[in-house]
Amino acid sequence: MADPPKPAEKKPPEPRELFKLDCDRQLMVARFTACGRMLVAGGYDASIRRWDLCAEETVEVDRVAGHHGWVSSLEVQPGGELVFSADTWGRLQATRGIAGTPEIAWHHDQAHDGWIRSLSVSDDGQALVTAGRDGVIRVWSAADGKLLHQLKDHPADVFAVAIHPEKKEIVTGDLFGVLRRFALPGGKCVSETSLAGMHFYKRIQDVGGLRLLRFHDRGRTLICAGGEPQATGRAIAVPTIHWLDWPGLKIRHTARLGAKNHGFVFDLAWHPGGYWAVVTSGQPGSGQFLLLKPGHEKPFFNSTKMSNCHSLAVHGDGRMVVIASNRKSQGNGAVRDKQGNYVANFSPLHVFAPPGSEEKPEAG
Amino acid sequence: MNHCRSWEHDWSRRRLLGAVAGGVGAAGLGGMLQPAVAEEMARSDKQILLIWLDGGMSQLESWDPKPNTPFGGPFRSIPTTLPGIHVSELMPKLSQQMKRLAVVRSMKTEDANHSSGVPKILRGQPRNRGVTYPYLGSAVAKLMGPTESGLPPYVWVKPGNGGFISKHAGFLGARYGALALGDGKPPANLVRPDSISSAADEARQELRRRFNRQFADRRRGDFNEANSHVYDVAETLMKHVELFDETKLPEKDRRRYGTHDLGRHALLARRLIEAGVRFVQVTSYGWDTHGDNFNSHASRMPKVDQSVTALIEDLYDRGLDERVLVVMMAEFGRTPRINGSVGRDHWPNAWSVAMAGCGIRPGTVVGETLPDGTDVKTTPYDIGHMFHTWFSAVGLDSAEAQYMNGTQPLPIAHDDMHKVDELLI
Repeated sequence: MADPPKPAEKKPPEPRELFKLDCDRQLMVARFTACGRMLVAGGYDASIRRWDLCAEETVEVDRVAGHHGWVSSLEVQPGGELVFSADTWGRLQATRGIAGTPEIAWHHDQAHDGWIRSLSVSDDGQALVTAGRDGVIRVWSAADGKLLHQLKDHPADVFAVAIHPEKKEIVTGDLFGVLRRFALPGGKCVSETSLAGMHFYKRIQDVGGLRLLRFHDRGRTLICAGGEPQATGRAIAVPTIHWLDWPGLKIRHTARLGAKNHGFVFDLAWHPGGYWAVVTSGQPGSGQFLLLKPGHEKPFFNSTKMSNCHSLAVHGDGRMVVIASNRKSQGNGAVRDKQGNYVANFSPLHVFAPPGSEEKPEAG
Repeated sequence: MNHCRSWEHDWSRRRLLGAVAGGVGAAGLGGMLQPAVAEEMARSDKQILLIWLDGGMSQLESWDPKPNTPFGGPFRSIPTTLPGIHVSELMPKLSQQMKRLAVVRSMKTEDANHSSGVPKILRGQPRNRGVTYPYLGSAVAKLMGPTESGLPPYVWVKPGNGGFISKHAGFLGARYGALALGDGKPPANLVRPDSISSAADEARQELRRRFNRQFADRRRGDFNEANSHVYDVAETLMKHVELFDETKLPEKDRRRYGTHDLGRHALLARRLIEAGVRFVQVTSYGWDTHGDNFNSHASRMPKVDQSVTALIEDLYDRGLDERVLVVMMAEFGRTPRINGSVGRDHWPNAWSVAMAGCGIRPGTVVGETLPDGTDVKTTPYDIGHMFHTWFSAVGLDSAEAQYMNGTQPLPIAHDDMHKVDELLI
């Protein structure tokens, strides 16, 4: 006798794409302003791009200048009015009034010697920490840009940094997948652990997989995201997120989010609906937008429709998620458009209404 | 993707013979130089060291940076010892060597594929005459022969396995192939074990020679010539086993060159050159950075910067710059366009080659690309121009010298191209 049919499982709600914004250059990072009115982004053109979401029709408004290299990091001050941005030439900048008439509150042209790999703002919005390719970690006062602490001669190339909510420690992740806790002030290394799978070496190339660090759960959890690289020369890696106990640095849970062509987790953010939003970028054309519940290994939503997703922004009240993807992808030789021009790639911004959100964005 | 799997060759006698048999067809028929040229070149003490960055190093992250332009990438450019000339910040040491270097920024070649592009570049892409031209190392081995050291004229230091790579020789015949030292290591069993006495070893060699004569009686003379050449190579190397003993190298040298593959291999290359090898090629694999190009170059370029700088410094310190030509290149550069994978793809349209030493005018930058790096702005140069230039630098008149393939005279470099005078002293 055949088993009775199982009741159909209720399919979890999925995000719906509302509209798409054009951006003529490639973006590395996108965030919502604290007021929720504006989407701000940084990328390959050394400027901060802005889209006013409260206008009758969403439009891009004037760019904020000041940077020279790629704007590789951009974070919004929690509970404040500043937006911090860092570039690959070493400039660190705080911009006030980004949703209206922006002005540069303070800046350091040489906050680091070259590429600022990572920027993280404390939960109270009062301090930020930067890590440079120069092997230096610096903690800054958010209000005026004053240097509060610095750790020189980090033992290896730093890829990611985060400041603990209590501001007594910072954590770094390096090229070799090593995590280190440093006490503030003084910068003494308190402990370290290796996530060996997040490093690969072959043919004189180290591939670093540990690319993002985030504190969560009021500092009781450290999230290490990136990928487990399998090759050099190409973005061949399994996108991976580790959740670790803090301060013990013991892995509590791991999610591997795709095949090796999916590459690395490029960005992730907590959604107030109680799940993680994650984007990945791997081989040309390969991108994922994932929604993942805490403690789960498999996402409850996975879209591969967008090519090479490089950043995501979650609106403060969760009503919107924006994905910065990549179009035009690749080609050997002088591949040209129909008009014969040699054009750059660009980053469409896909605006989604995530599960449980209102359908129409009414930001502000 | 890698174009070449030749490291799968091994150094067993059987493998060696197989390699020789594969490339011996034209030996004896082709490859004869005009006698006067051959005699002249055999007396030359000039040598060549080629650093080959397989897969294609980015010109934008090395010799021809375009910071703050649409395709410029994240890195800054830095000044060099040559006023007005900047290179990528990933080459701080080489930037201090620019007065000793010559860089061509206007390379424009035809092939954007590895599998066909590598042999075209390494053969100098001469006009098609129905013959397979030799790689640069084999060409030099033929044109100039071994130095007085008697060491093999063409040694290839590479990651992976070694062997005798006859296919590089093309129509010249197998004996002009490359002696490949896998991971810089000598052929296995090079040194006579202590357990075998000198007399016993000689008896064994005599037995081998007798078997070889019997073997040779049933085969063509050209095959035998190539076969015995491989044994000669091994015998010559046995006299220089100290070259391969890294433990006797000064720690300071090892640190200066780097303990990574490229550093170790570049240091061995210098020692092979000092010992008298005519042509040494050092290969670094994995430069095909279609993804994560900038992190890749951030990891790779400092190793190139370190080891090539140490090499240039040593050549100058020892006065070898007057007799050793150093070339650093790949099969093409990388696209200005940055793909979705944050990589750069294949780009033969506008790329760079660097050189130094013997016959080369130091402190020279030839050619220019457009401000966004998408094309060559000045006179474009192809690999044929470089072959003419390099042959001229080591004293060979490439407009006059010819190979003789039987009765067929063949130019040694593309006959529609010429040397670049700006590059030459």
